[in-house]
Amino acid sequence: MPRIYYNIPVKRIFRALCAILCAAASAMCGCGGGEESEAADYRYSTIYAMNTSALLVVYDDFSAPGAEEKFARFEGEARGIIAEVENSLSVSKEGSSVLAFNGAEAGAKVEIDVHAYEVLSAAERVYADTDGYYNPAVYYNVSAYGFNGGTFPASEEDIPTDGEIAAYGEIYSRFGELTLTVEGDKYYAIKPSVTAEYGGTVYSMKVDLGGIGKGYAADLIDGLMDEYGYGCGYFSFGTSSIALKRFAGGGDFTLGFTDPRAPWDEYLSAPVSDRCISTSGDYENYFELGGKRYCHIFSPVTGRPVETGIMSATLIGGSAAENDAYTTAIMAMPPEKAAAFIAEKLSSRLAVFTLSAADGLKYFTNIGEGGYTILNGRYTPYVGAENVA
Amino acid sequence: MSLKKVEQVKKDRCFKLADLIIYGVVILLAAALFIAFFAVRDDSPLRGVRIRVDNAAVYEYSFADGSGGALTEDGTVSVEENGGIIEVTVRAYGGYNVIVIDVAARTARVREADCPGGDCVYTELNRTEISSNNSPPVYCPPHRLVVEPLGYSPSYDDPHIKI
Ligand SMILES: [Zn+2]
Repeated sequence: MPRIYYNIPVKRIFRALCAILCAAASAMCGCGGGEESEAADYRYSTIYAMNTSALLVVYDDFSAPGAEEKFARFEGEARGIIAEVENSLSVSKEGSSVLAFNGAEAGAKVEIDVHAYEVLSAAERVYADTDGYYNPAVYYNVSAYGFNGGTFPASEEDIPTDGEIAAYGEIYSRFGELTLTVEGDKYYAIKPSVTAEYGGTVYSMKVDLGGIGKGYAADLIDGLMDEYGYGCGYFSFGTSSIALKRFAGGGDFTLGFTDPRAPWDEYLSAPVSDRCISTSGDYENYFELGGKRYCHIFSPVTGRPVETGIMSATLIGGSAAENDAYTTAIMAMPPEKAAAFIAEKLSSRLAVFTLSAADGLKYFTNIGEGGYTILNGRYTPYVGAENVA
Repeated sequence: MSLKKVEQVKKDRCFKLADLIIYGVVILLAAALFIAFFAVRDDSPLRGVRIRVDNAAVYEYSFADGSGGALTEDGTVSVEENGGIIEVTVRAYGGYNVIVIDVAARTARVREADCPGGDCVYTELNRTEISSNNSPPVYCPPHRLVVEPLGYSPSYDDPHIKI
């Protein structure tokens, strides 16, 4: 009887095994190592600002001479920048540019600092680019619903009336008239001259730049990481704005997208690095009344919390400040318009939005196939013109 | 099978023992790495709970021996115990948070708070609960409050970032 030899590709199997082992080893240890390991080559810092917590992470060789001192200097500078931005954009802190602007009379010329100037400039750009779907002057509307530290309506009767919303609309609809000037080394904002009266009170324009401000801070920290030569690490402001460099060792990060109807979970993931990212979502700050969700993102069309069916929107690439404003605008657009807007104006960025449609939860993205993974099968692709739930 | 091929296969077979040894070493190494990896991940029952305001610990509790309590006497923290439920009220930055520790279940969560948005409060939609030594901390940024597993030290050696 002839003997049978199996033609087993020994070397190929061996190479494959080695590859698996190497992949497993690097996946498990990364370039940081566990807390027990001496080679835990990252430093992090938690910073409380703008009513949220920010996280700064840097991957580097911290055994190198001077590396610890360098990170300490970097962290100090980052804290300083974030404090400056907060002090400039706070709606309540004494001495803030936004407080000065909000408190000034209609038509007044108000001196502001460079941060407020930059953020208002970005806000004006996105306001114009989105035909007013982004509008940071819906301040009174947001307050009337109790989102600026007030109390949420306890019943349907507490929901602001059409008359009240219309009065505030007279003000915010004039945001485009805001003028910004630079004179020497001073910055000024000239407030639109509009006022409106409601319930015996005369109102002038107020802005809330909190969201876009967090993105702006992320952009600044992104630049600071460049200055320090940190190519690996990230800065996240809450989960709404992130400046991503690269993961330890130079690889991509894996972005996990929050499931807006199960925020402890994720519905999509995508490998990303070296990009600034912002997200807006109706799950971050909202209340429910009579089975209806009222979120903190307001539609300049209705003057009330958005009800477009879009639950969340994320933009990757470009500036985090602009992305914050654009994602806010996308939430206020009807889904077909949002998809068309992304194709027309934001094609240089990666965009994702989720939609609650009559026939289930949908996602839309311009990320190419293979560039992302759907983690939750209840999200199906948005193909357009769906009925909004 | 051609004669040449059979010769080749025969030749490969001469190295079988050496190959097997190398396989064995590779598999053992992989197993050792996996064991080391999972040993570092601490999935044992929650050891205890720490509450911080800013960076200072204001309350600690250890499930092992039931030791711990308020770490300040400035009125920031008040503690009530009732049938295996410890209720810790922390007043900071103009507001309050009520943290409940379930001794039998070895869990801690924020039951009530007056912060805008109430993001720190545990609800069905916002399942912020400390239930293992790996649970991420619960943050209440307006009150600069953190509830975390005792001995918690965050790890950033994972490329995953949630947005
Ligand atoms: Zn809170």
